[in-house]
This record gives sequence, C-alpha cells and structure tokens, in this order.
Amino acid sequence: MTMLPPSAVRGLAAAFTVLTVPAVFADTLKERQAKVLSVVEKARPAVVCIQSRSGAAMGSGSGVIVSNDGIILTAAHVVDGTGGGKGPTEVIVVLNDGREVKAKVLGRDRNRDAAMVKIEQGSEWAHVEMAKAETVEQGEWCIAMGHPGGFDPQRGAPVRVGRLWQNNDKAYYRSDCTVSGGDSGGPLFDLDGRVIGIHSSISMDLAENRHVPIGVFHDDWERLMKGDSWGNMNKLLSGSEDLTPKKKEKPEPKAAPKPEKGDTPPGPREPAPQPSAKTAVWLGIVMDVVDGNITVTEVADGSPAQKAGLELEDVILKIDGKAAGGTGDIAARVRGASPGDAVTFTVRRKGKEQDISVTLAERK
Amino acid sequence: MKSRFFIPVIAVVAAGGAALSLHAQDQPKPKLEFKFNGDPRGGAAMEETLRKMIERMGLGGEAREQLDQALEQWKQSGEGGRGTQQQQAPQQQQFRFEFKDDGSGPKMFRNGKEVKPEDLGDLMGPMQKQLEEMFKQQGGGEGPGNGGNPLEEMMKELQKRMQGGGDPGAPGANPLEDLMKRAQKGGLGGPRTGRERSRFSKQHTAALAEWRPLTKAARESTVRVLRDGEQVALGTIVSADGYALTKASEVDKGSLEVEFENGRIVTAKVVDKMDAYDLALLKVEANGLPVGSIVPEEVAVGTLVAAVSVDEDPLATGVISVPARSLSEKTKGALGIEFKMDVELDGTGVPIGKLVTGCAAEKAGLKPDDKIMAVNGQAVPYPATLMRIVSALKPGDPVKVRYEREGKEAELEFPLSSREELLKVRQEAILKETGMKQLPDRRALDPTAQMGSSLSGNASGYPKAVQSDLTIDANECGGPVVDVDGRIVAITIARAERVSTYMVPGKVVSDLLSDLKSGKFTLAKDEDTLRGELRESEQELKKAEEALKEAEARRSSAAEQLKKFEKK
Repeated sequence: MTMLPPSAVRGLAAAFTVLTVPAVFADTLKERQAKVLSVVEKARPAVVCIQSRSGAAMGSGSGVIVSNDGIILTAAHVVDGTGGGKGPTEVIVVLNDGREVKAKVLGRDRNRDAAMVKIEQGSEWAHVEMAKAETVEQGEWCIAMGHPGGFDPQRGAPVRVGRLWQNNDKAYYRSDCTVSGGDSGGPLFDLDGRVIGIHSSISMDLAENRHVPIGVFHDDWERLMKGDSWGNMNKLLSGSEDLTPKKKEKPEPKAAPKPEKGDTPPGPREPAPQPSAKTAVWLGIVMDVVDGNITVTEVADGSPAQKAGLELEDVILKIDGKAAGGTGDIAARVRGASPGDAVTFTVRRKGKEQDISVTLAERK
Repeated sequence: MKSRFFIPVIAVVAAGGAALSLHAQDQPKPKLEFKFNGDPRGGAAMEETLRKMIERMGLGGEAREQLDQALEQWKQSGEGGRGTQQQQAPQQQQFRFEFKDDGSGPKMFRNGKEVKPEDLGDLMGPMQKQLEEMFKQQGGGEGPGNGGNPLEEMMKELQKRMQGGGDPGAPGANPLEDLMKRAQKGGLGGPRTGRERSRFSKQHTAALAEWRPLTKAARESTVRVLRDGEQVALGTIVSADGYALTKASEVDKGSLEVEFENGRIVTAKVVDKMDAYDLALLKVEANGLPVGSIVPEEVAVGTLVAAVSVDEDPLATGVISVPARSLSEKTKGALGIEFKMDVELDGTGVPIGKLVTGCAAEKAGLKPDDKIMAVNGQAVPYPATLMRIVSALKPGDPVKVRYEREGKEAELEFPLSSREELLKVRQEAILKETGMKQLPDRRALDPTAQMGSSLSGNASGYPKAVQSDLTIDANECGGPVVDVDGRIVAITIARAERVSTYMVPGKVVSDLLSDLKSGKFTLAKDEDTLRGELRESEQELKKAEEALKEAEARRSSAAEQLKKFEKK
C-alpha cells in the first residue's frame, strides 16, 4: 500500500474547509457514497494499530496519524497500562500496510480518555486533518475505522458508516458506527475525511458507540505534547455510566408504530424494561457527567422529560429530594418507578435550583 | 507478544471505561485473564460485562437476579457520591487470574501464586466485598464457594468449561461456543427498528426511507424462512419456479416454510447444499415468482449498501467494510513457521522462532533463527507483510524463500502448506499440553465482539466473503444486499460480530447458480473448493500409490520366500 503524499491530503482537506452547510441533510445516497469512497482512499493509510506489550501480555488498540511527523491521537485507556500504574512509555505502532514502528507515549487526559503518541523516527507519514469542534454537526454522517480484535493483515481496518446522533462537546459524542474491542483510540471521520472523534467505549446498544470529541484534543494539545498525564478514570467511568437497555427476552411482534415515537433518540433508555414482566417506564433523557456534574445532554422529542420541561444542560442534583448518586443511581430509581408515577427532579439551571416534576410514561 | 500467529490477542477492551480485558495466548498455555480496572463504582459498562459473562456462562436466573439486586442496592446506596472536590482518588484494582492445568487438575493462579476458590473473596477487593455484602443483606447470600457469588461462579464455571468438564449435554461441542449460543438464545439483540431511533440516527425511518425506492425489487424477491413456525433466516428467490437461497445451518432440521412478501406461507424443502458457503437451495411449490437479479460485480470498500427484508424499510443500512477475502484456512498458503518473539525487528526480515512440525518450511530445511528476507522476490520486513503475501498464495504453490543464516543469504524453493495444516498441528499441540478439548472461538473471548447482537453460530470458513457493518440479526441472514442502484450485490450469510456481517459476493452466487440456469438445479462448486478437493485427492492418491508399492514389495518378498519352501 502506498502512502499518500501528505501535501495532497492537506490540499484536499483544505479545499473542503469552505463548506459551511453541513453536507448531511442535503446530499443524496450517491453523493454520500462518493465522499465515503474518497475518505476510505485517503484516510485509511493514516489509521494505525497500537500495541502495548508488558511481558507476555499484549493490549491492542487503534489510533490515527494527524501530522507529517507522526503524531497519533488515541484513547487514554489504550496507553494507560493495566493496573493503574503509569502505563507504558513506548508502544508499537502497526501501520495499515503491516509495517511496525516504535512510538513513544506523550500525554494522557484520563478525565476525557484522550491521549497522544508519537512515532519516534521519520517523517512524511500519511496523515489526516483534525476537524474543528465547531464544524461538527448533530446528525451528520460519519465514518469509523480502527482495528477491532487487533491487527489482521488480511483484513486491514474495516470501514463503518453511521451518523453522529449526539455531539455534546462536553460529554461523549455518540454515533451508530459500530465499534468493538480493539477499535478503542481509532478515528471517527466526517465525510471530508477529517477526524471528529476518537473511539472510547460502547454499550449493549448497537447504536451507542462513544467517541472522545475532537475538541478535547484541541484543548489539551499543549499539555499532551508536553507529556503531561492527568485526571483519573473515575470521572471517565462516571461519565459513561449511562443506561443500557436490558434485553428483551424475545423480540415481541411489533404493534403498529405510533408516529410520535419516531423521534426517540436511541440513548434515553433509562426506564429500561426489566427482564421480568414489570412494565417499562419512559423518561426520555441522556445523561453524562460534565465537569463532575450529572448533566442532561439529550432530551427526546415528545418524551415525558420534555413535556415536564427538563432541558439540555440541566444539572440534576436530587430525585424526590434525595441526592443523586450518579447517572446509574438516577437510572435505577427511575426504573424502580411505574408509568404514571411522578418523579421530582431538583435541577440547577443557569445557577438557579428548581424542582421539575415528571410524570413517567410507558415505554412502548 | 507471543501469539500473533495463532489466536489473535484480544485487545484491551473499553466497555464504558471499566476495562475488562481478556487475553488469550498460546504461550506456553492458553490463559484467560480478567482485569477489573478502575473504581468499582465504575458502573454501567462493568455491569453489562458481568451480565454478559454470567449469561454466557449459562448461569442464568439466580446469578442474574442476584447481580441485579446487588447492583441496584449498590447504586441506591449513593456510594458513588456526586461531589467533585471531595471525590476520593479511585482505588485502582487489578485482578488477574490464570487458569492452568499442570497435570494434577485445573488450578487458578494470580501473580504466579495459586488461588483457592475460598481465597477469592479477599482478592477481589472492594467490589467483590461490596457485592458479597449485598448478597448477605439480601438474605440469599451463601458466601463464597456456595454459589452465592456470581463473580466467583463465573470464574469457576469458566475454568470448568475450559477444561471440557462443563455441560455434559453437549458432547464434543466447543464449550465456549455452546455458551455463546445459550447467551444468544437469551436474546441479546437490542431494539433495532427505525421507529425507536433518534431522528439523527441512521436507523431512523427518515434515513431508511432514502432506500425505499431502491429496495422494492429486491424486497419482492425476498422470503422469510420459517423453521417450525419461527423465522430462522431470510431467503433470496433465484428462480421463478420456486427456488430460493438461504443459510444452510439454519435449515438443517425441523419443518420448513417460506413466507412471501405478500404474507403467503408455503411449505419448503432443502434440495441442495453448499457447505463451504453455508448456503442451501430451497424448493417451494410456487410459480411465477419475482427473481432477484444478482450482479456479478466486485463491490469496493466504501460502497453504501442496505440489507433487505420483506418490509418496506431495509433491515439495516451500512457500508462495505472489507473487500472480498477468504475466511477459509484451507485455501490460504502457509510456510509453517512461528515468528520469533521478544526480538527487536529492524525491518530487514522476520526471524523464525520455531518450525511447525511436518509443515513446508521444516521439510524444506529452514531452521530456527533463520531470518526470512523475501518471499517470491518481495521483501518481508515484518510478520504482517509476510503473512499477507504468503496467505494470498495457494497451498501447494511453489514459493521462493530468501533467508539469512549466520550472516549468509541463501534461497530455497518449496511447495506451501495450507494454513489449515499449520493451525491443526499447533492446535493439537496446545490441546495436548493443556488438556482442553477444544480451543475457544475468538468471539467467545471478547465480550465486546458480541455486544448488542445475536450472532450466527456458523460464521467462518467461507472461501470468499465480503464484510459489511450491516446490523442485522442472526435470523436475518440469507437475504439480499443492494447497492445505491438497487442492484443485489451480495447475500448475507452470517452475523459475525458487533462490527461485522459477512456476505457471499454476487459474483460467487451467480457462479454457483450457473448450473441452476441450465436446469440442473444444483449448486456448483466454486474454484477454491475444487482446487482444495483436487489437492486432497492428489495427496490421497500419492499415499495410495505408496501403499500400493509397499504392498507390492511385501507380496514379492512373500512370494520369494514361498518359492524357497516350494524348492525344499
């Protein structure tokens, strides 16, 4: 596989930066396909597998080269060791064509699961551009690459396509590009081939694939380059502790769809149905931990939460007067209620506390 | 990094940050390693993983309920706290267990020291203890060792199953595969209808609607395949007088019916099968059916596609992830070497660690520590480049290997082994060494590979398959896949992992159907299968010839001796 001359990659990317209208909603299938094909061709050589070896054990994640001299974006947990120690200082980078090069770990922002690695020698590495955070649009089509299951020379980095259904810069981005173990640290591209996110985690839901927003790397750039490692995984864990759907025992025959259900985001599954016969309740929000606060990052259209007046950026302090222990805690308490029950959320909005009572609905 | 050649090492897995990583390595013994990383309050991801593991272990009901209750209480207790300033630094915990059998029965080790089940409670740290507390409070806990602890149960069960001792009901079956199947029966597929999705999601009705005009023809030539009244697959109609292709392993028993797009249900029977592709040809009593026209073209990576069913909206939309490749080890060439580990590669060649007994490289006279520089004139600076070149060649193909031994370069030419031969020898060695009955499927070792999907049991070995990211369910294989021109470019054959669905390319399908068109109504064999059969029969012939010669030699020697008797 040949490397693209980096200047060509830059030139192409630059030509696209004048686009101000998101290409998402206007394009046709064929136009979109043309863009995907072009991203595959120019971006795939910049996608790498990152192997950290300690003794006989090996961890394998992914990354993407973003500079001529081999700076790689990845996820902190890919290069953060295993036992809470300092983590490896050196990793092996396997390029898409099978070449192996040594790289050193620069810095890690454990709060946001962001890290940078740099190939030790050489220049003229095939690379891609990083998108500006403000150009990332909710609902835009996106492309995921990485090395799920580790490097496979006969396979390379599989391409996946989906949409960015949530783009809150302070939390995770969420897309329905499916990723799995080994993809961690791999890139999420926009249709112009710019990196908009780095794969971080998933839930049981195929549509719930979480990515570190590209803005985190812009904000952290200098510290990461300097070699700082900071933060802790605890915040990260809390942040990702949103709810996951309990699986239905058996898919039930579908009743005729109600039109208003069309706008339910895949995320808000708080009142996930219990495996037992208990009726599932519906609240209709996605929560993330933003700066240590449990923050509403998505409100489903037509949901009980929206009707009651819960808004984006609301910080949830209490439920029914009891302090909220975490996103999982809130979920559990909602799950414990029944459709028709009223639940009172004490939230902080623009510095002021207020109570909002939500009447839960049945999740159909 | 010792196992690059055999079981791919399962990556550090980030399931919501609470990383649980499983490593399967073939050196010197396979090892499963659990690492619970981070603050035990870590939450959802850990919960998911545990649930998944418990399901996979087949522990089901009780363990699941206990975990449910424990986690619920754990969360409600508000232990997590919301404060930021006072938040304690997370106590990083690391738990690593190895399962080994040194001949005196299975044992569990941690940091090289043997661990007895009764010691587990102490080792698992706060999370374990907290869970145990919960069990006790529930009044149902019986403490460690008595089935009261899902984590421990899980490990014990896993250990048991790794040793082939689990589930007497499935003799000879791969124990972990069996577990996986059980987990799948529990219904791991998530909500996937477009109507449940965010308006910003690709599965939302509005996004799927783009495809409606394109899928109409394909939809009409699709049937649901029912086994004992339940959908087990889809089928693609390939002939107007009642023939459809479907996934063979889903229709190998039971009474079969197909349901057409208009709701009509007709009895069906399997008239032919093609094992290599897991394809079956169904015959139904019907005429004048709409036939899907399958285009024999290769589709490029990045091509947008949709998986079609009988419904108006496609089942899923996605992209060609990986170009057509062989998933069959039979058709891939191999030298029969293991790479030398723990050496720094300088990009000039790949040093040999060991030679696989009875395979091509050993027979040709290559030795450990020889450095392979080039294969058929192409440089092989790294293991991945060597593997890529060699596995693209066919078993039996002559190969020129340039190598360096004690500073001198030389070249050898010899016919390749197949990857199947190589893997078989290596597997046998590992099984013998460890006492395991069968090596686990990669998917069984990586929880994230399965998350969110029901997976096909038969999902590998196809001589040629295209990989896509279409999120169909296991009972939706066998249906058509269309491109942005509405042409059928492939047929889905396996929901393999969270990120992958395999499809038989249109070219292969139309080749298989050539006999069908001539009215013979059987599936033709593909080139690779025929090559494999030719090679196998040639080998058998060679053996038979040798046996013949031996027999002849024995006969003439016996006749000789007999003559002596007669003279006397």
